[in-house]
Amino acid sequence: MSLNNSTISLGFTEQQFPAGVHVCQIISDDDERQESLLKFLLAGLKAGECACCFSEQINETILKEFLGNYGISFNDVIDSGAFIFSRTRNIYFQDNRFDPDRMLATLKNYHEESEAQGFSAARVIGEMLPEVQNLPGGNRLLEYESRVSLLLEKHPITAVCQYDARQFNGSTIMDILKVHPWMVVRGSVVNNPFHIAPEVFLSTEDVKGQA
Amino acid sequence: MMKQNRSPDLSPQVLGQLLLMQTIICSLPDETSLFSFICRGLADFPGVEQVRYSRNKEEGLAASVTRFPIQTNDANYGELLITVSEPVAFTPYIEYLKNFCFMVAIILDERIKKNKYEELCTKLDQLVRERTTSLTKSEKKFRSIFDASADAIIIADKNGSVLEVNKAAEILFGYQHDKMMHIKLADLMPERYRADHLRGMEHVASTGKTTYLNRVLEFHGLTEDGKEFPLELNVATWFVDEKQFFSGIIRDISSRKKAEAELRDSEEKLNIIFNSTNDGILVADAESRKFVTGNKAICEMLGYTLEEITELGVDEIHPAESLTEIHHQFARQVRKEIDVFHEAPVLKKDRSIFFADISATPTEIGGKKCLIGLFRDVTARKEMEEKVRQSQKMEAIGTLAGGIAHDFNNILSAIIGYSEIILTKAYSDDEIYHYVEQVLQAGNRAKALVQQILTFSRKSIAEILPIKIQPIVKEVLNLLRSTLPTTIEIRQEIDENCAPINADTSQVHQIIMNLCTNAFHAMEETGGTLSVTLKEVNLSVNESGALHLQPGYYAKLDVQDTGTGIKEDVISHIFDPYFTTKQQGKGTGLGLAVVYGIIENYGGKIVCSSRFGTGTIFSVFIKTVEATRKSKDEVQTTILPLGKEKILFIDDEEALALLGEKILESLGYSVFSMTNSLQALETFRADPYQYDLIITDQTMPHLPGSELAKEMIKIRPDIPIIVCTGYSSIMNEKQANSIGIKAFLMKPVSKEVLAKEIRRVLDRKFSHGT
Repeated sequence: MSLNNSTISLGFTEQQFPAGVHVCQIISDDDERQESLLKFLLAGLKAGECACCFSEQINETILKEFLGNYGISFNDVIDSGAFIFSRTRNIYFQDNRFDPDRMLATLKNYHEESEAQGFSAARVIGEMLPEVQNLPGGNRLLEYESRVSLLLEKHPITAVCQYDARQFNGSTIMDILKVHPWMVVRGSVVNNPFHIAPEVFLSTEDVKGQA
Repeated sequence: MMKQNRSPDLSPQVLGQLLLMQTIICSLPDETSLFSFICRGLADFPGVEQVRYSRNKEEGLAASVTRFPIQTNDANYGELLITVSEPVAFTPYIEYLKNFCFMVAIILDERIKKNKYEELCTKLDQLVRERTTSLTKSEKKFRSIFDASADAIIIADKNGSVLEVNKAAEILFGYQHDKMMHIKLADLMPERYRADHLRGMEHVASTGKTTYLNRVLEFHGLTEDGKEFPLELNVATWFVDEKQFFSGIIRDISSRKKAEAELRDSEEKLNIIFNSTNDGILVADAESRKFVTGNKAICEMLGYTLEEITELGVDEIHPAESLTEIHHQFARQVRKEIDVFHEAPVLKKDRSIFFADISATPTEIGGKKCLIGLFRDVTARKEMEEKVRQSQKMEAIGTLAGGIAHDFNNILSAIIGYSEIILTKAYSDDEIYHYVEQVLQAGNRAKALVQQILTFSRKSIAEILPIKIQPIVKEVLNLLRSTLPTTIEIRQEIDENCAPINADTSQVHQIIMNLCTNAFHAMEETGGTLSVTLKEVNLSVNESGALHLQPGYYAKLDVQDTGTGIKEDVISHIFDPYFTTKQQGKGTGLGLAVVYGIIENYGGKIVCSSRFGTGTIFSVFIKTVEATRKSKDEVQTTILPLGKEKILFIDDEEALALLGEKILESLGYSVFSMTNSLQALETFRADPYQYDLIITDQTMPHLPGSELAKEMIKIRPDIPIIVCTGYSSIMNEKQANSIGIKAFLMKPVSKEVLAKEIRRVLDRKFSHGT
């Protein structure tokens, strides 16, 4: 089975999307975050996709119980490579720094591996931590997000980025909105009117300077 | 609408951004974050150069700066200050921005309200948590008390359904908790209580009232396995949401009931013991000396009922003259200084007195100090002790009498013996003959008196033979006739056919003499009639029974006087030793006691009937015997047996030795008299066959008669020996016979007796061919 161009479900909305959408979810409570995350992963696994999760808030116990309720064995999907679960810090902040290039390579590799393993699609949901702002490379967060959009055009991983409005200040939230083409508003995924096309965004002097 | 009114320059994307910002700012936690988000978002608005937020209204702004207040009618949240670089591009959005700012104000308003609400909710939660914690603690406390209670606790509704029970209830009724939660109260009681219980519950259901509150109820419970047990129940009730509930605190009182039963049993036993003891028990208040209670025995002893006793005190049951001592001893017993008050005089209801040993124990009853007194009637013991003392006195008299008797009999032996010699020498018509006869008669009376003393003190050796009473009666009356005053008439009615009795002549003489002497004393001052009647009666079963005798023939001797009579209260004491109503010198108090003793010894009876002021009659009953052998009197003969044998006569008193020699010679014997027993033995040893008979006194210095006899018998075993004695405590006839003495005679020995006894001994010797 190879990746195809059919629409997929994000799980937390009834809307269907082509694979490779880059969605931003601004959350303000933990239940909302967890519910979206679990539903997103479940939808992918049920659809035969390869699903990947980077989170500090969720744990194996919750995942096992949740997936188990739907007849999916956590251990089985882990063993089969259908599900990849990692702590945010372990994947984003290796060597205690944030390296957008490495992350992009990781995503690219992930997609290629998924494709190679015959999954119908690949999806990832990641929770960004506010500490990124204080880490080396943290100032390249917006660049990273924008380049993800570019990456997804070639490697259509369906990606949902979770940002906690309680932990990032308002101006940052606004900046993050600008680098995500899609965003979740009250449970629905909408086109982001603040989105700046990556080609434009990445061409700005600020971004150039950071890179 | 919007599309129709929109200026051509309005960008949908920009309007969308405004809408999106409205949505997202709801997620931002605080105003700082919110306004930084807005300012950042609006900075890219068409025509906008700069956006900033001011909490307070700023003055003196540049013309390019447009104010956008963020406010509602109720609140002001500052303003957005937007520096516009291209008014043409910006202007179309002004109204939208105003609306946006108003919406932001509304959102902040709502947020404040929400925060307040959340704050209230938090407070409420906190309050609920505190209340819940408090209730949990209270519940835990209640539960711990509920479960730790040793008493069973059951909570039920008004229908009697069990709602909750504690551990003690489960144990008491033997149910598992879950099972007990599905039963009715009625299941926990025996069938006989259930109807009343159900009626009570119905009454509660209809009226909401119960009569069981504030009462301790006692009835029985029923365990799951059907065992009944006594219980005590306290019921309480309360209402929750107009529903009535009951709690019952139940205590198993099996142990208490058992203890109560044991106590009752113990009290009953104690009561039985208390009332079955022969000793009287009185409990007196130690302070007032009033009686609290007493037992049955004390009621019988004192003659009072228990009710009467509890009205009395110590002072009412003791003679007035003893009270000082009684109070003293009572106080000492209260202080535990003494245990027993010996021989306390106790006054009965009938005013008679008995003596009691009172053992007392101080104790406390009902908080009051009391004295428990145990009364033992020692009157009989006291009388017995008195009798023992009397007996010891008699023993002393007897010892004394024995000593006197020996010497006195020796004297009488001389008087009687020589009188008899004179009578054999004098002529009967001589005046001297008559005088000597009186001397001899007086001597014999003196002999009888000694015998009487010995008899009384049980020192005499009675010679019981079948004798006829008639001659003895006549002799006594003859003697009395000459000595009684003429104011006293003597009547006699003597049945000559009355059969003999087994008795000692002198003792019968003593009986008649004593009774007649008493009769004389009773009539001494007034005169009267002394009647003596002798007849033989055949007592029937009833008659003899009344006298405590066997039925049969008895000689009945009545001695009656017409004297003063005997008072009723002393008649029961007349046979007591030393009891006398006579004035000093007229009586020893021994007479009737001796008579009584002799008659009792014969198995007979003496009874007294008297009426004070009228006279007295004593009746003596002694069983008669068949006249199969001749009585002593009848064998008497005036012809004395004579002999010619050789006799050695030994008496340490020279006069008596000489008298013996004379009497024996008058009887034809060849006599050699000696006064020294040792010499007599040597004489005998020198020629044992010189004498045919040895007659010796018993009481002699150096070698008594019995020892002399033993020595002589050793020398010559067949030698006949007669021992005479005035009195001996170490020798009697039986003992004499056992050592080979042939006869044992009491001094003074009459010539007649001696003559007959010598012949009996000698003739027997010869009849045996020795």
